[in-house]
Amino acid sequence: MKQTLLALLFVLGSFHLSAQSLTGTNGLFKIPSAYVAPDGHSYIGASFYPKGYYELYGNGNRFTGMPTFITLSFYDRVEFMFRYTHQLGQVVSFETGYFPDRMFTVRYRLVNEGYNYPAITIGLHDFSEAFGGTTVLPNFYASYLVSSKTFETPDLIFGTTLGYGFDLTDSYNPPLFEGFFTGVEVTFTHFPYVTLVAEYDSESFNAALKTTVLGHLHFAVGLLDMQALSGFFTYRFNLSNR
Amino acid sequence: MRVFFIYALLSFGLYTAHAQQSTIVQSLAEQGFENVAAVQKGVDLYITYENNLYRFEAKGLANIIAQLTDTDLSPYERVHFLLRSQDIPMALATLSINDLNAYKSGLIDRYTLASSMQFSIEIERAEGYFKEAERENLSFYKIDVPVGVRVDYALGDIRDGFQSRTYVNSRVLSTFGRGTEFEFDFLNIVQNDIPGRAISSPVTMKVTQSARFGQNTFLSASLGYLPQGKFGLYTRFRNYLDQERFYLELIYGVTRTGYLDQNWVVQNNRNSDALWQAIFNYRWNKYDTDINLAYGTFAAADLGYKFQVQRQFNEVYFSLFYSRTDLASAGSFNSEEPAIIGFSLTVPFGQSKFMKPGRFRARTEDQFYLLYRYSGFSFSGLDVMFANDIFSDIREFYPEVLRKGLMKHLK
Repeated sequence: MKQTLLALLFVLGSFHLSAQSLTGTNGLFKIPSAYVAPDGHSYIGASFYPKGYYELYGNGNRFTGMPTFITLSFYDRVEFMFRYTHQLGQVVSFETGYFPDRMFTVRYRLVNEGYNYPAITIGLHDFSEAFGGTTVLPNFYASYLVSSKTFETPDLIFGTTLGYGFDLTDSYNPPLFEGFFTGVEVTFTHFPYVTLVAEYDSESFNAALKTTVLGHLHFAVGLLDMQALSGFFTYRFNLSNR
Repeated sequence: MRVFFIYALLSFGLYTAHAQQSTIVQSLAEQGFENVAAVQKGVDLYITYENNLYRFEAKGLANIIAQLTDTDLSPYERVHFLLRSQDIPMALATLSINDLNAYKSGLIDRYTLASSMQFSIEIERAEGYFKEAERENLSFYKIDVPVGVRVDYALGDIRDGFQSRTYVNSRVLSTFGRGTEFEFDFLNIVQNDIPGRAISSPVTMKVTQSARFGQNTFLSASLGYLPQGKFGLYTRFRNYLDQERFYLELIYGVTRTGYLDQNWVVQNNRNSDALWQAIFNYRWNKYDTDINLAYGTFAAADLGYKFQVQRQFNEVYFSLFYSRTDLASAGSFNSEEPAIIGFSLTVPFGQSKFMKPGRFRARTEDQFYLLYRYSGFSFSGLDVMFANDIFSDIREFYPEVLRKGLMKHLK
């Protein structure tokens, strides 16, 4: 029975654990990491923000949010994401004044991870304003530097992340990450199907559990501010020959 | 007597080699490869062919190499493949017989084999060998009918956030001679919730002459009813430098704007436009990336520039662009934007291997194209569409694309 269970887990799971985050970029649960997927690796996915944890300009935070995104990685260093963020239960009309939010994100890994030093990445979320003003207000703007380093012991794999978010605009909306954010991912070497996440997103503490199914489907479920249920799923595919 | 034996042996050797070339040519032609010929030059075997059988050029070449593993090629040291498109020679691939034998016996894998091959867009010498060669299964006077799906969409209308129009398109393509092609494209609307004029009608009816000159220079001229509602002439001139690494392209066109309605009557025929554009492209081969700067007039006769970075993954193309022209773009909530950013995605569509080309063949389209413009309420910076010409699939013939494609598709 135990063997059958292990075999089933082996088929369903994968040693390559989920790497995306709620925002659609590579990350832990809500915060981004410095890791960028290999060239050609791409993700399509959706995430879920509970009421009160997501705000769209003009519509407040009375609705649950569902970002849907496509994330592509290039040159082993660049990550590009296009995201459409929906407010569930809202109707697009003149009366509601609601329209889904579109945004681009680009991230560039400045330094590859070495034996003694972390990977370092610069990220710019919802940046289209900077290129000629293509939206009235960026709702999910963020700019940050983030570093990540993974440590391994015979029994555990620790992924650590430390970043700093700053505001480069005079936007009405506060940036998604302002100040320090940090987090840790823990995977048990002998049971590598699940990763546990604990993080501080510059405002609140979050915790999550992530897993991968059939090598391509990633799921995460967690608590924002340690109280509101949230999660995401992504499908990973590879466009390159590698 | 000795002279007689030497003569007989030589004759037999030549006869055997000739018979072998003939067998290879016949085999490729029977499978559906077109404009096939083979010639021997010393210890080198040259094979030329046109692939309209596989959607992706590298896959066609991979299949031919796989067949050669079952052929006795002992008289030769190298095999050269001269790949054609509309009978125009496009690229040369060279394979060492020793490497092929090593691959056949499992000593090297497909990555090593593809890495050891040489590829080039320098084809003039090889093409010269085929001047007298008789080609099998010519690609001329055949009718190809690719059928595909296209989608137009509009985002941002506060009354209806996502509006779409779906077409089933059927094209008719036929090559009459080297580089001479007729194209007809009919769009049939099968679903529509975008307001405004929309009729199922012809969108392209043109004749294109493409040609290749010395020093890796290509030219195409299209005359007739062109995409995006233009009647007139488009010419494109492109010169490659340092293989596919750099190219300079000049475009010139003289058109009138209008369209053919469902009764094939010309409507809304307005003033003529002169289109011109200069394009500089750098190809980053390591990552099959084109870095492209275009300056000139765009589809709406607006003057400006467009900067584009396009990453190619075999048959998938992903492009990011930024353009700025003298035609202002409308953004969200009626704001006027000075520039447009966006992306496009081209993915393969339908069959990867088609039926053998015959007098008439229906097949699926090669690609599905999706364009996303962040502030897309105007025609500012729209690319001119040329429909089918020699440049349509030219990137499939790039040396590094062929090499990487073989790494993927060699069996």
